Amino acid sequence: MAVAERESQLPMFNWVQQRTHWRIDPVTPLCMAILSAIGVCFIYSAQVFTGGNLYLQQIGWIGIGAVVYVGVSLVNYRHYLRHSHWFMMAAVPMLALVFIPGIGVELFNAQRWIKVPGLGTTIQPSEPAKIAVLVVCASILARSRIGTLSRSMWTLGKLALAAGVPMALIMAQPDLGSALVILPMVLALLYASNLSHRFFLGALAAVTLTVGVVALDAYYYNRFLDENRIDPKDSARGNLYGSDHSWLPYLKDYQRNRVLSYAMPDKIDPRGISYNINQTLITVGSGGLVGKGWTEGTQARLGYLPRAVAPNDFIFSVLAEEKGFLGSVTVLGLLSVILANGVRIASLARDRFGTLLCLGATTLLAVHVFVNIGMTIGLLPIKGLPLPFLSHGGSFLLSCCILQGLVQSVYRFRKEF
Amino acid sequence: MIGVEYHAAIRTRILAFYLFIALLVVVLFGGLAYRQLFSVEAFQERERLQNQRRILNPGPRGEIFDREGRVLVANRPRFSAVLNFSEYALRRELRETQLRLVRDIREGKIEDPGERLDRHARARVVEKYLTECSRILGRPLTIERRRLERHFNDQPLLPFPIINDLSQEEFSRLLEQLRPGSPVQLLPSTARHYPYASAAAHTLGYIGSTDELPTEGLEGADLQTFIAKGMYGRDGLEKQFDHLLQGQTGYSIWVVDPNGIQDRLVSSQTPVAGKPLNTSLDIDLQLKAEEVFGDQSGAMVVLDIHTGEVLAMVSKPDFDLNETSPFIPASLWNRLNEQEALYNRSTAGLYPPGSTFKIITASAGLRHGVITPDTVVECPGYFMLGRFRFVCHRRSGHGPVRVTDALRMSCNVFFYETALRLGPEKLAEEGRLFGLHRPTGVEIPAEATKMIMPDPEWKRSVGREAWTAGNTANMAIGQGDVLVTPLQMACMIASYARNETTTTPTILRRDRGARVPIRPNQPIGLRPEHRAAILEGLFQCIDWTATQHPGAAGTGSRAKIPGINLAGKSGTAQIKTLRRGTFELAWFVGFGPVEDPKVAWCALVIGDQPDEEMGGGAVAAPKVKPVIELYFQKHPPQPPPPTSRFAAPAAGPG
Repeated sequence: MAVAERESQLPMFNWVQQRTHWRIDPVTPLCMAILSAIGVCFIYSAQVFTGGNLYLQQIGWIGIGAVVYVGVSLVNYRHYLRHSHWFMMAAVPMLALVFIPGIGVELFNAQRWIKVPGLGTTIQPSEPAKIAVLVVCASILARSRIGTLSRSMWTLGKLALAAGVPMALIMAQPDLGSALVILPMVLALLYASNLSHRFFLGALAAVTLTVGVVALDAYYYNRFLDENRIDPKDSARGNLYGSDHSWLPYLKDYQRNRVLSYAMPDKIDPRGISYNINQTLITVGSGGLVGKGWTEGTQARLGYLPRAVAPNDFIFSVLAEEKGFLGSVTVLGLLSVILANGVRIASLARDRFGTLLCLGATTLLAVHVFVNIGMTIGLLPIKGLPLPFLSHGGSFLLSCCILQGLVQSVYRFRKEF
Repeated sequence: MIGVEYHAAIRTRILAFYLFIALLVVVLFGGLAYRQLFSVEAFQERERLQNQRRILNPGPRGEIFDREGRVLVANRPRFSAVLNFSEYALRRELRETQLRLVRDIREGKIEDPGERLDRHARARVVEKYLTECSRILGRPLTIERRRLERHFNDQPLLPFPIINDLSQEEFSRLLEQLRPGSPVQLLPSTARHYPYASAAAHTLGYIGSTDELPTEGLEGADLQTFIAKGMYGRDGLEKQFDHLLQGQTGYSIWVVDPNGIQDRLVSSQTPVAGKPLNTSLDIDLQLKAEEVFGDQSGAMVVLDIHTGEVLAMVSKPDFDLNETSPFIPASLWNRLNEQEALYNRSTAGLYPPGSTFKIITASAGLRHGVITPDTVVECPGYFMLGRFRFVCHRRSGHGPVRVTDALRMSCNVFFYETALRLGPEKLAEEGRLFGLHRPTGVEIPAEATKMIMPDPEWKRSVGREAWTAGNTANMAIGQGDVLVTPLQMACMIASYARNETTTTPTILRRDRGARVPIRPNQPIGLRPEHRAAILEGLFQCIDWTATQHPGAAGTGSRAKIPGINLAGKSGTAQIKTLRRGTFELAWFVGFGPVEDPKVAWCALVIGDQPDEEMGGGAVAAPKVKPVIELYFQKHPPQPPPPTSRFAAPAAGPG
């Protein structure tokens, strides 16, 4: 196979070719640097009242991230096409480690972290898993021809396995949010692989149907609560509705409460999830046009915006409160520049693998941006997804740097042939 | 090659990616604009309501003074020891205690207390400082767990009091011995203090503690508010003038964190003390009057005749006001109810006026011409009305008496005769002329309103049998259905002294020396010789002693003060109570000096034992004498003008 031959001739690193092909895309790294700096500022601000040092940690992670970014972008992405299975071989066992007592760390009722021996830190294996799924899926799709739905079944099956196993493991942690970001990424790869529109129409129909069914179920559940004057929490404790009234027996009442908490936050749990919704809305909304000033945000400083989540999942709220609409839009603008640039680089790539890598990485980023900001401004339900480059957290920052490193690599090595 | 044809194929799909990203960004942009630009006021308001709290502090209550500026009701500092959990040091200690608890439980050093650890830690911290105070004070101190929880549920912003009423001595001991930097703070607040203890207890009234402070015009009414306890008047002047005595509430608005810990002061206003109240009372007279009463039940009112100012007002039994501050213990409350000591007998007690009412009977008789100053009635010691025998109090009879003699000796027979000639309507009308049928309107709460000036019409209206001549005879001597308050009788006699019909009493000090006309008013309208005959009778009642006029002495001669001409009338009546039997009432009303009337009084002594024999002259007059004597010591009368004993009537230009 022609492609395979060329791959085998590639040197591991392109030191020699560097001089002839030395070009870099400056836009994305510049935006990344600015966003990371903003992130550090507001992580500091979120903790200024209690005096934490997460911002110092974050600076350390940014340093490591920069090295990783440069490293990844130095490597010709085409190497991964051939060795993509190694990614999966590394990611899946890591995901499995989470469940092994002594290595996996349980926090907030979920096993999402594993201890790194020697470093004294923990990492979130769902982050490398995302990258692995991206590389594997992109390589599967790059190697196969996708056409009509019926002719692509074998490929789709492989894809389902490649994406499904890690997703299932992540869901079992349980971390529904991280598992669900994989889905749009895979869909984006399929879309970019010219899969027939029928597939996407079908997928859209399936999603619509699911949402419709869940919404209807939630409606009946709410009526059930009202008619019997049952507190949603009591119902969740005994699974009252789910056990003998529902036509969706797999859905539990506590899950129904989550659905309802999005539609009617005050009803379900005024001090719980919807407390966070209300607080993030107040935090963002009270910022106004120019904000209350750096480190002056009362919501974040006093702890109405829960202190545990302010530096990571709700970092955008802190920013929106202290720098207002102008600050939020600036950050949103920088993020969208990275996204658009990702698509641009995808279109510059001359091979399918490069295009798919870029589009996949960009989709992952877009989903994080949209879900995170959407949740802080009350458009989407609260999901524990961090905001790329701004949120505190090493694993996620590194994973973003690796993904953008891949994009840079695609940019740099695109004119290989 | 793959790349070329592939890229040609997906060009539109790449475009779709751009569009998709643009869509996401536009949605987020719109959402941000909606929240941050178009709903910013609503969210800022929600934030304000969420993180601001208001604390209300009552203003110190105004003090109450007597007419010479002496403090009757003051505020004394009251110290409590508090723990302020808003303080940083205490918060840190609380957190450390909690962390230590967590560690100890984990290491198995102590057992899990089976409750929320933050509460347990809080209780431990409070316990620790309570023990420290207890050691310094040398007395055991306890705090109910429930009180602690309630405080932190209801008023987390207010300091938590661990000792409420420290004595002065304990206060200084704590001040000295608490180690420096101890979070135990000594907080001053105020409690009512009464330098004269029980003096004028009913008039002054007592206070209760309240959460309802006047908040009109204060900022932050929509905020969650914590209120430090204030005081409100529950009785007497404290109640009547509560709106003036009540200080202006101060407030502070704080930004708090979700645990209610204060972070930053937004705005505040210091409380302002209430207005002082200057009463008309003269504490010297008041104390003297209460002293002469001793433990005897009764009431006494001393009025300034020209201004209507109440100089003294006694109601016995009374109580030490200091025992009611800062709060009334249940035992005291029960005892006071038992003794019926809580109501003001001067203004709220209704009693038959007895023979003091004869002044009205005489006045009506002369006004309507049924008697003249020269009319003589023979008193054999009894009066036959049909087959009923009405006795005079001197069984042997007074012999032939005129109106002056009848008033002096309190001859019943003369007044039976006068009243029967007069008829009940005119008698009642005379009583109403002097306002004996309605409340005086003095500024003291709970004045009696159900006074009775009976006449046939009244008797029909309350559904009793028809009026009889016997009713008229009884009414003539202030018995039967007539009911009045001691204050009303004092006002009646003060009006008589001024030759007017109405005296509106006041408990507030008039401007010094001003003789404010009391309105509305009208002259009595008696011919001068008629009024002179009555006043002569009242004068002789006190002036004619048994040594000077054996057998014809006045009934009130025990009130005689050498050198000062007083006028008075004694009275005796009975009240039947359902619970405790029949009690004697001894009355003595009067005024002086007769030439230039200045002071009027009404004293009522209530028998403490059922069926005790008491005469107004014998029992009440001696109680009046020291008080009036003191009055004239303080205000020596002008030497009487040589010409006439009775001043020209004040309303007598015509």
